[in-house]
Amino acid sequence: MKKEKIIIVSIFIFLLVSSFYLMETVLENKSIHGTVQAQSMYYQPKDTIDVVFMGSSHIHCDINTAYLWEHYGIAGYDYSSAEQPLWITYYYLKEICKYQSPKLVVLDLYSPARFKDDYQYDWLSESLQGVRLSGNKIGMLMVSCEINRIPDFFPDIVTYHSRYNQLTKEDWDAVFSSRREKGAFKGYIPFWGQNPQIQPELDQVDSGDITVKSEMYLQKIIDYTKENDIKLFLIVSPYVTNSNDELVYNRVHEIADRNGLKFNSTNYAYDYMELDFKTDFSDDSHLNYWGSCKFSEYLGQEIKKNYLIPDRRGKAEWESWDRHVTEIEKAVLNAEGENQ
Amino acid sequence: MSLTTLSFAFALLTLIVFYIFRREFRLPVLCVASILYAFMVSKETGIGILWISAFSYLIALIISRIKDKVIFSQAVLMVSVTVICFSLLTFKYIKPEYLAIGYSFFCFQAISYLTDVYRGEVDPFINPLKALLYFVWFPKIVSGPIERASSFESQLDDLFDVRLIDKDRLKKALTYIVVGALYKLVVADRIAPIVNGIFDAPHIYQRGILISGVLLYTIQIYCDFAGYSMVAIGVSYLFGIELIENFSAPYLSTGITEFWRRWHISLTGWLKDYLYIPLGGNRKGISRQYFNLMIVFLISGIWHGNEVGFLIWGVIHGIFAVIDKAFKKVNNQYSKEANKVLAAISRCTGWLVTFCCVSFAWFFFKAASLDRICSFFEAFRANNRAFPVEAQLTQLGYSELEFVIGLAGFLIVVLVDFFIKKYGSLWKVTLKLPLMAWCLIMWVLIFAVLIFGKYGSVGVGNMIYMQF
Repeated sequence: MKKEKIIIVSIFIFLLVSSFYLMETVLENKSIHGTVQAQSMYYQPKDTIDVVFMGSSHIHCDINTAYLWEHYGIAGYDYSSAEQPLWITYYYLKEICKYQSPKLVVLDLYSPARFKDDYQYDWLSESLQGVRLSGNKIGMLMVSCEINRIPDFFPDIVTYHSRYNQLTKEDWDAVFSSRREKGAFKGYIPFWGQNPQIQPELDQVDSGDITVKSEMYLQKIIDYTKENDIKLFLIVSPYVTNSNDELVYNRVHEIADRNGLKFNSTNYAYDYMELDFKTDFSDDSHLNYWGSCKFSEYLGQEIKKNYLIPDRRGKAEWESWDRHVTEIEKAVLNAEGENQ
Repeated sequence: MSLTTLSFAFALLTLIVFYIFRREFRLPVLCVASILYAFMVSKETGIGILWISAFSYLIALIISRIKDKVIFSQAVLMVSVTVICFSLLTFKYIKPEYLAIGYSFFCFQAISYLTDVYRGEVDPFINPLKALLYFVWFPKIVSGPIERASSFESQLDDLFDVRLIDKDRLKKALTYIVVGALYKLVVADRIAPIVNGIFDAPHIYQRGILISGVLLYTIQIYCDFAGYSMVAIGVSYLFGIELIENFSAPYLSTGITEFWRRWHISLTGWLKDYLYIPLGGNRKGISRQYFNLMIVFLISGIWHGNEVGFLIWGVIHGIFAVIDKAFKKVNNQYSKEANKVLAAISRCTGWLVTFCCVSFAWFFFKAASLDRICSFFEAFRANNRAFPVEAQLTQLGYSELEFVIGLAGFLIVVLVDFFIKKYGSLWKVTLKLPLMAWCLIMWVLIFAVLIFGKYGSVGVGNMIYMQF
């Protein structure tokens, strides 16, 4: 009788745990603006990411990891989320270093230029959800969220459990997606829209307007990379910038110089990249696929020129990047097919 | 204890510390945790509960010491009860910004404790930690139940022997927590926005929707409060402390008197033992009994707040209680002749009348202010049909899926209450279930709460009774 009870209770616990896992898999947000980037990082083969690209959606829209692999053999990963503030980037950096040994971190500085609040909630769920529960995640939560708002974001289930009336085929397919499929995703999300933009005039000479919290975490990121022997390349990915944003970039330039780091605001290289403001932008903030190829070509050159990043093409351990290229090619064909 | 993830995390942490630390430290651990929780709720709650605890502890010792001097001990009791009531009135009506959450419940508990000590029904707490825990015990901080010192203290001596892996502890705790969470998060909080929408702008809606709003509130307030109470009982039991059952299927009552024996049991018991009986109860004739009933319900109404709606609610229930008493006297004369069919009809009629009367009274409770009461009546008279029902429902955020979920949750509530009425308590219902059936039911209910519960960013907020 007692044995029977133990068996029943054991089955009950097993059912609870497996059902919870199933529920989580189906219901969790599969946002392409952070959640899937963070989740898929855990499925990358260990110590294969040489260059990790970090920052806001400018990263996962503009930096074409398939292009970088195909043309430069750079094993890169877009480990970013929408409007990601620097304090989250800092914890993201610590997180990826638990599983990978990147040689170079390329950090885009759009977020501190555009967003000034010390607590930013619009995309916080997307940044948090894909990260596994750990002390690092708790640390990320504590700096990102006021105490009274924590119950709105933690644990993850509080943000996605109500999606039961928004489920799509993609949500159910997630139950059957394999490690292999997730391993082929490198964070990059091509955008296909073409919305003409006006090329901005850049004439800001002053510097400043970066918040204390952003500057503090930028310095923490710089210090962390130094302590862990990781190169850091500060950039601004191309978009329709303005003089307010440029104030911050000029300040970042000062910080980069103070720390002996390279800083490249690629908004000054539109012509060099041959970016066409009529055809290469999805909106005023993001490049489309074609724009991302041009920018990635430029970025690839910069990385190869300034940093010792090995060419990993042809090596068995990095075959997931080959599959990644195949997936992006399929996406391009689909998009071109739809356009016709 | 409020039903937030933060509160549950706190409870879990306290549980871990409780079972990890040496047993001799269990009492101080629970005291510290409870005080911390009180301050987490608000600074005023922490200060309020500490002052009531300290005051009651000292007064109880004084009363006990001078109990041979009847007049003195009576005077001390009266003065201390006056002080407590004065503090309650001050914080509720004059300085509401300093009001501790759940302060009314602390006050009632303090009055109950001091009166029981005076009456010799319970010995005063000698151990200050036991006294402290009696007041600050965190699962019941926010909205009770109002515990009696005698039943609470006797459990504290057994704290040292409490084991988590106990024959029934986990089963009982899980049952109460999950069922309570279903009542509150799946049913009550799902209904809340619709009820608030109707009561905030009644002029938009037609009569059918207005009536539905009142009925929905009837369900909401019950599931909200009963759900919270069940969770409090479940969490408390994890630590080996049993709290009083606060609800016993009240909406299945067949008379108002029965309703009040099943609704907010700890408060009803308090009103009976510390107000109704001291006033004379039913020992001084029928007229005096009816008068006493009216006084009790009037005070009960006023206790909820200074809005006229609460007063009307109290008066209505007083009138219902008097009528019920009078009707029962008449009914008893004929009960011997009644046959089974008549008895069944009588019970069904009684249930329907009771439910309708209670719902009617809840309208005044929810509307509260005279303006809102009048607006609602005006809207009822006007019966706005300018927009079709579908548009009005859309205005309320109605969706078919949410309706189905809410209905399913409500049917579970009805089923659970049916069995609670039949067997006496949720725990007795649970004992009737074979283990496999219990596991299956728990599995379904847990996921119903996890998926359909209104918490996190879609949470509705605090419990209705927290404001009292």
